[in-house]
Amino acid sequence: MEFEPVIGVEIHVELKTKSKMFSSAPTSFGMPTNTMTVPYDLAFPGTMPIVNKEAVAYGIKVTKALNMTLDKTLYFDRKNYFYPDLPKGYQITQQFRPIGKDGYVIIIKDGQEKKIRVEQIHLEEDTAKQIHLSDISLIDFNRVGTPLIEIVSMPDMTSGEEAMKYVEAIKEIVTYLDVSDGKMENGSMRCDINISLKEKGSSVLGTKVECKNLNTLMNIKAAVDYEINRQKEILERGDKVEQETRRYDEGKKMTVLMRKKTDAVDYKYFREPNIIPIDLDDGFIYDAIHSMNKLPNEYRVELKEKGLDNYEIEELLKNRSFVLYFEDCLLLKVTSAKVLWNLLMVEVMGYLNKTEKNLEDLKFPKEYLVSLANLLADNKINSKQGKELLAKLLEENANPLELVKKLGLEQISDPKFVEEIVDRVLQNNAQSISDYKNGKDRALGYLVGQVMKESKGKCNPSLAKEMIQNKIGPCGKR
Amino acid sequence: MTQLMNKSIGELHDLLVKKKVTAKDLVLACIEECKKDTCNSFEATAFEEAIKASEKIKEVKDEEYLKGIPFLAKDNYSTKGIETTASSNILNGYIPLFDATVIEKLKRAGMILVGKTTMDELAMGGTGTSGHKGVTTNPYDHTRIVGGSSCGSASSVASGIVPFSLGSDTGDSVRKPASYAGIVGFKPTWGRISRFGLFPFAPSLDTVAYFTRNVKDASYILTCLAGKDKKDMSSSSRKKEKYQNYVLSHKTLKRIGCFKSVLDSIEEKAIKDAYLNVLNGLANKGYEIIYYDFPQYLLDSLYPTYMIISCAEATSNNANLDGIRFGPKADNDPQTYIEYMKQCRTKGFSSIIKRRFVIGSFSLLSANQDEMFTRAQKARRMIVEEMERFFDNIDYLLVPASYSKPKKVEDINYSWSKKTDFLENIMTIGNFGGYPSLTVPLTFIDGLPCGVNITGRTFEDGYVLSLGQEIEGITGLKNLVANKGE
Amino acid sequence: MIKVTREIIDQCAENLMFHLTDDEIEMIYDDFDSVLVQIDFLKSIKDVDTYEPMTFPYKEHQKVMRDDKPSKPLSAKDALKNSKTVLGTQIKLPKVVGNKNDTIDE
Repeated sequence: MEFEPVIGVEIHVELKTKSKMFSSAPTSFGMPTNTMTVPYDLAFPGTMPIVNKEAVAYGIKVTKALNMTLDKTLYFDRKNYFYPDLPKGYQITQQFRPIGKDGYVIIIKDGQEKKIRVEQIHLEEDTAKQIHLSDISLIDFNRVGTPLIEIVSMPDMTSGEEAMKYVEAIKEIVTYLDVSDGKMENGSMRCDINISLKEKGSSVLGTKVECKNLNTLMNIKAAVDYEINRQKEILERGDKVEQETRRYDEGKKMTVLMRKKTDAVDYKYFREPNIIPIDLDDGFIYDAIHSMNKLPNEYRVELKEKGLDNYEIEELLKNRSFVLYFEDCLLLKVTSAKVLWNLLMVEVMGYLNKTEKNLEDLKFPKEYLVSLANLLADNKINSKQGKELLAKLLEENANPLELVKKLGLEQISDPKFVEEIVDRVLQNNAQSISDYKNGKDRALGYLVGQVMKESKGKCNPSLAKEMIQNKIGPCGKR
Repeated sequence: MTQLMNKSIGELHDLLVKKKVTAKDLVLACIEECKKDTCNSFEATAFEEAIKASEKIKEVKDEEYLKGIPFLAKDNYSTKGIETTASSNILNGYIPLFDATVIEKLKRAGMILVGKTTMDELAMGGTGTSGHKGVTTNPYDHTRIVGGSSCGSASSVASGIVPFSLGSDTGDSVRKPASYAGIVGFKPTWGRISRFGLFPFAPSLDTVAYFTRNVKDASYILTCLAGKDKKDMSSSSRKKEKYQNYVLSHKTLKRIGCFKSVLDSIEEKAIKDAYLNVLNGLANKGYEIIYYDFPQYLLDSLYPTYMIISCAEATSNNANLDGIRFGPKADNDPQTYIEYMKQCRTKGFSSIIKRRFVIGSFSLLSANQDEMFTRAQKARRMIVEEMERFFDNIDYLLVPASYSKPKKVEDINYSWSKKTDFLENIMTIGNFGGYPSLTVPLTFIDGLPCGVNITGRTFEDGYVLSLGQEIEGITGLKNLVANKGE
Repeated sequence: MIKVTREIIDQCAENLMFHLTDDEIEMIYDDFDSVLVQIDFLKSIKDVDTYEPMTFPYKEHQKVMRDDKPSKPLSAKDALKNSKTVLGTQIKLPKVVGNKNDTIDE
């Protein structure tokens, strides 16, 4: 019997607002324990939730970015359960009227686009952090109340790779929107994945297993693929898959049982009575949407038009600050986007990595980098000279155009000038010409070298090479 | 200076302005009365802080109506530095870090908080007998209840300890005890006053409410308390008014409605007579009296609707009481967090609170919610829509606030009623629709007070107060104080 | 609707994190008789299910939300002042294992 995996993903994204979802306490990461709360966060009696406008604006942006329908009136609901990390005994969320519904994201698989539908997103609040020691647990309430957006996909994925690409797409979107830092390793983006198998062609769904603790993209792929195989083996044996929650053990490279789901918890959802429905103002919605950052897919189209290939585009997109830098540079009349890409993504990035600096640490104007790229692209300097200028640029913020003049480095591409020197060199090196004709192709390099020497390095070497080849004909056979 | 605390805010204000007494005199007199309390009205006192605050007041100007006047607050208002338990063991020892907005506003107006009053545990109950400090009695007859849940606040105003105290009203928790205590009890429009710092019972019904001994005092208090608060999103941003102006210049509306079925069902003759007398008096003053046929099935649905909605919301609102961040800890060496919470909550709540939570929780279960909680919410809408029709042509609803003498303490029965008891629950209408609703004294039966209740349209608080004042004029009953020591 | 039994009542209480004595269970069980009568009454109201459930007392919506400006937080000392189960600057509980799960940071 053949089985088809059915995979759905729930992602919790921590928002980067300055204050919490329903209280004015500051949000932070890595502060001393229990120093980031106001009375609401600890659920002292009589405190009330006050909705953070910025978090709602972020919700609108994500709604739009995921092609969803926006609910212009906000409603909140309570999800009731007892747990030490949940001070109120309920979490305020959006069970019945999510801010966004019925959207999708596009992933690329084997060069083909695939649409993954997103059922809904809700605004809600995070729980506190617990630290488990050998016999006690400690609670730090700093994180409690941090705004979250929960993104619930439809079960449209069928493999670990698709699940991973979906999560990656969401991560890209929220980081490009700058609504979250999207760091899975820090827990600012957390995924739960539901996996079941059904008989091929059947509409009857199998028993769902929930997978947690997936803190890297690779783990998602590995966990889902492992789980698909595990379930397949169970079904092929004629056994039943049990409804349970499993987590991924990175060391063992397998999913392991966390708990069986006996009775599902009844969360007794009902509408939050302390938040009267909020009508979102058209102006507010407009501002949120029109202040959205450009999304990765928009960049993909634009950068392709500028002449970058897929590899170059994807490398650039890995880090939004490089994209922004690159985009700014492109506004400055760039001869070749590829040459600029090479400078930025190979040379500059190498330098930054080596010196442990960030893009923001570069002190020179972007014009300088563009000038350097254009000098190279226009063949006004050779790559060796380019490296020297770049070193001066990075170390001393020196303007490449001025340096070129000062050091007399400018390459000469004037054919008349170059031809004069080429002719002189060919006259003086008859032996090399005959070597070349006898099949010693290395002689060509020697001749170009002589041209460069004669011109004190100023001649455009590729032009010189082209001219020499034209004058002495093809390389002979040995 | 004896009997100083029998005076109303207005009277005390005059004495302060004329410098016949100082704020400190008032606080000291009030403390004396607190110590003589015979009703079990107190959860906590703040005598020293009150004296200190009074010493800072050198002068009271004519326009500073509330300055220098002592007051008490129900123990479900958060008071910075003063233990606040809502009369529940689960909050023993809890010392809030902040003042409720209303406490802050009253203090800013120069009022002086002298103590905290008893209540039914967590404000759930209407008898004033279920708090962790036991029964609070009626100052007119200590064998009887004063009603609840704001029992201590009612008894303290009625027995001449303070001229004003804060209560809270979710079903009729201020307006019913006001009736039993012969004082004024006002529940303004839901959202007119910030609830920040009021311990929630059922937020969609909860209202800051209070007791005074006359309507004019009540109008000044509302002017002080009303207004949008950034700490309570449900507080209304509608413009606040000078509510005393409705009373001082007697601005009123003219059409008064009375439910036929209510009139037909009053059994206590003294109450019926007094009620008709007031209607008569109003007619003589040019008010139009309209007898309205409010559907009986909606009246009968008041009790179940109220009980289910309030219990369901309460079970969630009190889920924060787990002994972890505040309140007494678990003391039997719990081995898991579940055991920890269960120990705290098991010893922290009384049996009748647990019953409310179980029933409330049961009505929220996903398998039951449609039949219970959601249906009660639908019934609520039916009731409110019918009231909106009523208010299309009628400005006020006027009903007796209680229909019998306050019960004897030993006759209190905590079990749920199978009957609908619509008269007993008539004032929940005010909470369902968020209406301003005011109880003023109506009459005495065998020396025990009984009030009459006025309900108006939302945000027409001023008009409700002005009709209250009119009724004061007809009954001649205001500034009543129970004769102490008898 | 779930049939009311003593077991259900006990289970509700345990989910609400408290125990009931046998007497308390009996009391609540008896009271459910009245509760069910009341529920049936609501059910009998004509057209009740054609109405929208009502949460808020009146129809007004709001527009104003809080600006994203952090306020000064409580010190750890104040935050934990009312807790009777503190270790250092954190709250201490018996190791959290139990019905929900045994993982960190859900």
